Amino acid sequence: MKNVIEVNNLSKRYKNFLLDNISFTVPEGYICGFIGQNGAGKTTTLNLILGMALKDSGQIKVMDKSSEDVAIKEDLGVLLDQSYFQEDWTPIDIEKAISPFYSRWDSKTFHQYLQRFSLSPRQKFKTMSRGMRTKLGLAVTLSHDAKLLLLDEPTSGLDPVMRNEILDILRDYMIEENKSVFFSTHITSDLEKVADYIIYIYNGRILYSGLKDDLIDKYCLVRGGHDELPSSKRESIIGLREHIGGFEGMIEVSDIGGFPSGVITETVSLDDIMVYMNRKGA
Amino acid sequence: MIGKIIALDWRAIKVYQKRLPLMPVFIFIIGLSMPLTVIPVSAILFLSFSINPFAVEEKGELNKLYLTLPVQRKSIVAGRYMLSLIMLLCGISLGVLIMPLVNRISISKWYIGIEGYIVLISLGYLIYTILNLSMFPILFRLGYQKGKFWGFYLPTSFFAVIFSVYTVISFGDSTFILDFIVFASKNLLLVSGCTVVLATILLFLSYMVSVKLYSRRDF
Repeated sequence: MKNVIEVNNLSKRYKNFLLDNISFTVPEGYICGFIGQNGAGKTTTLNLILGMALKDSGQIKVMDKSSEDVAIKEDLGVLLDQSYFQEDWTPIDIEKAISPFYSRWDSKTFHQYLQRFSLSPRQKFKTMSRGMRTKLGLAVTLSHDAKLLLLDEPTSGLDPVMRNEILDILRDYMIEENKSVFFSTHITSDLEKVADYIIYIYNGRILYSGLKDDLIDKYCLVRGGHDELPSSKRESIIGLREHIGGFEGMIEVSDIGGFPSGVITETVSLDDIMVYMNRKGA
Repeated sequence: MIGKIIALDWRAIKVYQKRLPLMPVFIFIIGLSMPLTVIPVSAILFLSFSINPFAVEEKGELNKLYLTLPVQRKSIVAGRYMLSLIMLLCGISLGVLIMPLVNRISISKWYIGIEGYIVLISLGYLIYTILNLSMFPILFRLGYQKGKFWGFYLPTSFFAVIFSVYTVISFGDSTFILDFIVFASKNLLLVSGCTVVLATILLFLSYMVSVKLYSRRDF
């Protein structure tokens, strides 16, 4: 399988944060969700991939080239959490400012997206809502035939309708061959709908990198009464919480044997995995 | 590439462009008290205008926009320096146009020939590069607020104080500046030539330091 992103032993130290020797790959043709709680290192990793932050050590390859090679950015569509267009700019200004940098910029596509997103070409950026700004960013991102989209929290702060619309755009984008999306978010429900591949970062370390279904199949939720928790199982339950009614936690499916028959097991969601991993302190 | 960067920077400072028509008025008013200062002041004002892309980058994350584009960091620096040099050319040209007009109205008249203009232009260029060296590397490393304070306000205030003290000490009767211009006009190649060479070295130094500092900046 060809990888569009390869990160090896990447480290970056800030005053209060350490991205600790992380390694992962993003396969081509996938929507890859990069999940983790706020402050886990998602934006730092993205900044390092884009060369906005400078790594202390490690290697980053994007589409088989070093991330330091700026030519790769012709093939990258980037949408960051914080907007980086000038407040006084209109979509027309944005196109005039940005299009000269891309050899494959397609003005027709850009205006089609503006129309599809109901964005006026003459509306100033400062008067746009958060959702409109995200859509405009996506229109820019999708108008230069990018092979890989790097999206940092594109759905955060948006209402469910708008979030679904963004996810639809990503689905449409993926129809073409050899397109990939690297999608950082803490709203995991969005990824349940569109992602095939998950990278889970916790406190500057990668806890999981692989297929989403494998991750979900790896764990299950377990709950039962006090007398249904064997002491031998305490250690294997992730994020064990005991309350008046009994206990609950997450456990690897391979460890499920040995519980009394009254214990209930349920499928986990990505949200559950994050919550219980966080409770455990990973 | 540099042309595209200049164009993007120019678009980014759209909101500041409205101030440009006011520049000749400012230069004219400032020059009324001392027409000899018109060209250097004009150069400084246009230098000050040329740093507006740094101002908008703090509000509008211009750096981040650039770093999403297929652009090398050193090209961004080169683009900013080119924009600044274009502004310097505009400033000096405007100063050359305004100075004779101011000289007609001003109480203190200065009769300098073409050599005098060349001396003032080279001095304007030197002042521009000194301020450029003190300001641009900080702007590229620490951003607009710190760059403008440490690199522009502080040195200009320092020179303003020295100039004021000198004026007071000399009871306003000093002919130092005029004497210097006369001397420099007579030794044009030596004085203006050396000034231009020195200024160019300072500008090159400023550029190299800025490239180095900007390449190490984290966003």
